[in-house]
Amino acid sequence: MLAEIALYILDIARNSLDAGSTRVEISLTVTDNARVSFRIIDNGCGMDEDTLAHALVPGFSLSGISGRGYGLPTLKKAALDAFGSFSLRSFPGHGTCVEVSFCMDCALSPVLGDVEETVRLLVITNPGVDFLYTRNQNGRTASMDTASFREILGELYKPMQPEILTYIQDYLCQMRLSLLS
Amino acid sequence: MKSLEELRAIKAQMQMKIGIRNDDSATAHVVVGMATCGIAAGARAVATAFTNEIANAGLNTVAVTLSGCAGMCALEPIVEVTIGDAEKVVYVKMDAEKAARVVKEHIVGGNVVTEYTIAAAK
Repeated sequence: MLAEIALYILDIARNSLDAGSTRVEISLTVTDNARVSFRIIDNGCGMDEDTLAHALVPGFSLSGISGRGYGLPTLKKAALDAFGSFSLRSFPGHGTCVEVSFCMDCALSPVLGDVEETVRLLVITNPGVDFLYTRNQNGRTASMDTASFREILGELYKPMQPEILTYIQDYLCQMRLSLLS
Repeated sequence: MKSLEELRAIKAQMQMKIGIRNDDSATAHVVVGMATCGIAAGARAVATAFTNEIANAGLNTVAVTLSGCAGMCALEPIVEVTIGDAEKVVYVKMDAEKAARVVKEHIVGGNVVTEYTIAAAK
């Protein structure tokens, strides 16, 4: 089990990257501090029916490396244990969509954790991938789309360069502040 | 809110700065295991520490990436550091404090922190 919902988001987004995605859309919704849901959509290779049927079997992995294959089943169990919900849809050649919710009032629910830190890390360690991060909270919405940064910077979009790193960090921080009630 | 106008200004600044090379070659690679096992063991904090220390040290040509499970889950968080043509060094049971030391002594200083390596763990 992972300690934060933000860490589950990191785990699933990593699956999206392993599937060859060039764009990952992460949408987070926090409702009255009682319910948290997130949806991650990617444009990776997707899963055929057979793979999809095995995707939630603990230990099943296409990589052949022992130790892999626990992310999805662990997440599903964590969500259902927290009286939440879980759905997985995938289309070969198009991508995959994971949609999860947690009831935060439940004793077994993980805390939300630092989602902005998860997004920051994904963005700066994957310069070739675009991320759209949307957060809905207190009736407000804020988002960050790295495609808009790439459009302006072109080849200069190197998120580990200090000026861009600072811009992205400040962007996420201001996003967060704008959503406080 | 941060504006895209501000990003355009940053672009102009970067283009004027001497030393921004347009090629993508990195002189060193830091690969942090970030599969479920790594995440559960605390790898996100390790990756964050590496990116922060590298940025603070002004190391513009060091690339940090996230990888899958190496099949040695009990030794997570695992970080592989490769500098230039040298053989990769595998660090195990890492944390943020150890990450700072590896950046300072190995990546900047050129000396492998042997006590954190997989060889020392066995």
